[in-house]
Amino acid sequence: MKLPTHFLILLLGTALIAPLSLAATRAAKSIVVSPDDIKKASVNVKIGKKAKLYEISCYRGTPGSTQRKSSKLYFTSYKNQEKVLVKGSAQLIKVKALRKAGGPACRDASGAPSPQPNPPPSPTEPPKPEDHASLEKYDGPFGLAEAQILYNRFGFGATPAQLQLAVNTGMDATVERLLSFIPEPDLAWQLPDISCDGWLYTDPAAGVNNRNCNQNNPNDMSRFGLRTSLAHQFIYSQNPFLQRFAFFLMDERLSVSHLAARDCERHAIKSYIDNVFKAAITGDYKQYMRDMNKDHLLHLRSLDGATNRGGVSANPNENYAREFWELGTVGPTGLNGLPVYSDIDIAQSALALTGWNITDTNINGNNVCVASWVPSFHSGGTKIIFGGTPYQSAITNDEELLEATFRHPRVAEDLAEDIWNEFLNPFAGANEVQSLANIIRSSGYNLLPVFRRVMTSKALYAQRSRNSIIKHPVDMLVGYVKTTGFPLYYRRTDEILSRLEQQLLNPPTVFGWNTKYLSGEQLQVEWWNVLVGYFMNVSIVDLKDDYGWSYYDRFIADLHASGKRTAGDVIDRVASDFGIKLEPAQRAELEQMMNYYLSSWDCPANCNGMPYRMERNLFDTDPSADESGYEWNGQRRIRLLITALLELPQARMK
Amino acid sequence: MGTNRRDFLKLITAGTCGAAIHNTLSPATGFLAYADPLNIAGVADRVFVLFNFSGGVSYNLCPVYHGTYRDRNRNISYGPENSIPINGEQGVHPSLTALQPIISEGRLAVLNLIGAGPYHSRSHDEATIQWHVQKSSSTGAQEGWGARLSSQLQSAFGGVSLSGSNSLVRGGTNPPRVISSLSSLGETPILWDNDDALQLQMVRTNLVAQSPAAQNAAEEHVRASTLKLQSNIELLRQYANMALPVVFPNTGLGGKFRDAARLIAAGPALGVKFIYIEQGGYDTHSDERNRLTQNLNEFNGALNAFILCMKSLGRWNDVVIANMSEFTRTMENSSFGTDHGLAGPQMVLGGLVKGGIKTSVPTAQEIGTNEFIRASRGTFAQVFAEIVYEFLGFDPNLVFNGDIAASPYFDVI
Repeated sequence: MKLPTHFLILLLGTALIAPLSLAATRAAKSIVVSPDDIKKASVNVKIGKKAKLYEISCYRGTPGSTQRKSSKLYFTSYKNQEKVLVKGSAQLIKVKALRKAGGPACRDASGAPSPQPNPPPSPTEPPKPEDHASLEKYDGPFGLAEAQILYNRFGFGATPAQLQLAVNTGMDATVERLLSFIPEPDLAWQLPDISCDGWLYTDPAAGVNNRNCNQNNPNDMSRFGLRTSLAHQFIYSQNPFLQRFAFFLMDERLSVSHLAARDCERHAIKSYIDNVFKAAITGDYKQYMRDMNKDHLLHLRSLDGATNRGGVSANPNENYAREFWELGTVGPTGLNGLPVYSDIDIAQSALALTGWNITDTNINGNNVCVASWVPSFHSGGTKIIFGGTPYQSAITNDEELLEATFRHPRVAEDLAEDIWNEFLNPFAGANEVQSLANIIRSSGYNLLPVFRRVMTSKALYAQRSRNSIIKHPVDMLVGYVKTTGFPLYYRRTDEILSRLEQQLLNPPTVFGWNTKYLSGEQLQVEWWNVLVGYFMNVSIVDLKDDYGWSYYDRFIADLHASGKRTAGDVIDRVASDFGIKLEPAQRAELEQMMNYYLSSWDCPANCNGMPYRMERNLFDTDPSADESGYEWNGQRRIRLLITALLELPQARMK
Repeated sequence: MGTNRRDFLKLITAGTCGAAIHNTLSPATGFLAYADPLNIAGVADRVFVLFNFSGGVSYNLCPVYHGTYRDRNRNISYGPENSIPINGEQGVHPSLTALQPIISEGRLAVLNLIGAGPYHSRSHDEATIQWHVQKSSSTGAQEGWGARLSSQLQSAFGGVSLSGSNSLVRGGTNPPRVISSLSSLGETPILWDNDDALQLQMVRTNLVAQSPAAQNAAEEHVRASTLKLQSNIELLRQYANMALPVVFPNTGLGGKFRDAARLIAAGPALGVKFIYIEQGGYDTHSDERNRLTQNLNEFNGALNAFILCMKSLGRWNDVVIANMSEFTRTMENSSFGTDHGLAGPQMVLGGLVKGGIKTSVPTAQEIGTNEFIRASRGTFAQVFAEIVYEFLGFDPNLVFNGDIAASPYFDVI
């Protein structure tokens, strides 16, 4: 007979909880070492989706971990740890990866040159981190490039006006503007209007499709409408950081797909969105996790909270409990590469989370599935988590689980790792993570002061940090529209993002989206298709006539007014607007493209047998300089230029 | 045809070592009939062409001849006198003349009442996603089985969709390429101006090659992906105008089958093993007789050219064509059309296919009790799993989920 896990815990108590023994059948062989014999090394290891920097211990060139017991320091090589770990277990995978990466690192650590030629700084003056690793305040110039970095990382890009204002007012004022929430009356009515049926009532094409939302039906909303309204606010909100922060929470922390919700619980999709934006506005991460612990869509439906029942004979459903720790709070391993919690801890926390149910209810004649807390479904009694560690706690329910978890130092470290990787650069070591984690803790897990520090840090603007993060498809799309002001029809965004496999509210897994996959070969061609299909293939004449928007007005008029007339001037202008740094050879290639038209007219008969010929037609910002009519050919060239630029690998980086 | 994989397994399991081999080879799903793919000579060039009659094709794709069916479809059904008979019970639609010689050669298999299993739906969207993704439950986003199959294939062109991106081909580690034209690797054409399109292609080649050296791993990934994409575009373009021994009809579908023929003719240079083609217009709620005939005429022309081309190239034995459709349709309605039904007919053809009616035609009782037929003889996953394993030589457990664990053989390959 298989005993329930929590019953086993009652039998065993907490005595057997030592990090590496969790998945092991016997203890790994360790040796007592002198602290002087241990060298520390940092290794960057990728396990699953995330790459993380781990601090490991090296003993005579051998990688492993150390543990202090009864004033003695024990060293256990990763090789010995592998021997006792369960085949196929996550711990074994991690330890193997650490051993592989740790070998060279430990050899380097052991064979480091003598400190004599370059004596280290005195203990009172620790070495200053390089700029890309420094959270000290940035004191360099703040021009267009820096403003673009700030907005690309923290706001899906920026409009030209936003960038100009940033340059004019400087970094501190811009950061304060990003961190301050501005009420947006237009979006306040547009978003619910789009959410309920996918149409804006002001849209001439809406016609009978637009209808008034039924206030008496909690499920009167469309999934397409919810996705579309989200994209709409990403593009047009005057609170760009709020939007980007919300996307970060939806992607990098706990992710959930709207598909998990049945039609009778569409209201839960909206509640989830509201919870995320509430967190983004307040910055209160602890409250966010408290809300997720009760979230109908994420916890109760997608991660099975509603079927996680207590009771003597029931096995808890551990789905949410595992993700609560792995993705939402402490992460599976610490900076030393060792597990933070055990499977027993997860089973215990799952019991603390029991008690929820989802039932069909009739509300104003509509079938609505609602969540409720049922005391008899909750597993009573005390549960022990983080057993055998300094953070061991006795808990009974979700609130106590939350409090106990937030006492663990890994919560701040895990958040710090994600913030470094998502917003700063992928180079953070253990020291950098600890520095940011300290700031997170001192802010009481309110992330707004943390982001203020991050946005003004040397690390953000350091040369090495530039172009070190891959843009998401949503970064590319929203950034395009913001930069150009292109009047993209709001109902197209969902279609475009679906083509790019980043349909909002529908990440592929609980881990969110994988930017490496999304920027891989297979999907890059889709981005090229989007550029052509949705932006190039829109009539220049229609853009002007129907929306009052033109490439000339956006990119040329002011250049011409300032006397800049050549193709090179335009290339520099457009590349600068998109924040793309061109190689000289690329610039020359684009100049040629702007100055020479390819023509297949009358070919190959009159083209020396070739299928086309190149016709010289120097680009000039003066509309009257183009005999064939500037409105057509000049603007056509710029359209082509933008497409060519945004197809470049450089355009994908931020 | 020599001993195939199934025969081989039957032989070895008949001996004393059979059980041990099963225990060794069978994946955890208990899919005992299938084992790890074996490297049998000749499978390298084989291609599985999946054709989707999108919209829900009528059972009159493969008309049933008995009286109850005819009575329930008084104005739209066919008998042996005006269709192409396979046997005395069932035939194929009269438009499908390309299948006449295939039936004679014994290389057309028809499976009746094939559906999506317990999760089948009569909604276009939901049923299509079921067929594309083969979900094991009613919720949750997953990758398509076409993407899962393609992920097993090492080649950049292992899987190809000639009919756009959809839930079948999304996801996985190496999803099928979505190719709208061989000259562009699925690039959307620039409207009104082919000259701009050509110039952009030329400029892009140089610009990508001139992009700066990467300064970090993320940049290197993006740069390498772009360069690889560019080189694959150029590789594919070499086959865009490949001469074929057969002229294909000048229709949309003719062009897709012509591209499919070129992809297959390219052989190991592209390594194509899975091609997806779709034709819409089968949602025949009214005037089915004319609309179905019109659609199938176009399909037949393209298919006929494709079959002749494969035979001329000596590749007919390397190809299996199977169809899907999100559901079949009801009995005739008052508009001389049909509405949404459930499990329907499935055809499998190719040089190595074992022809015949593989699952029995709907009985009078099954037809008589409902406006649509609720009975099912099996799931598409069972059929496709057999093709994936027997024909392509890949482990179907990596492509289809555990719903097919108890799969019977249909003996199609």
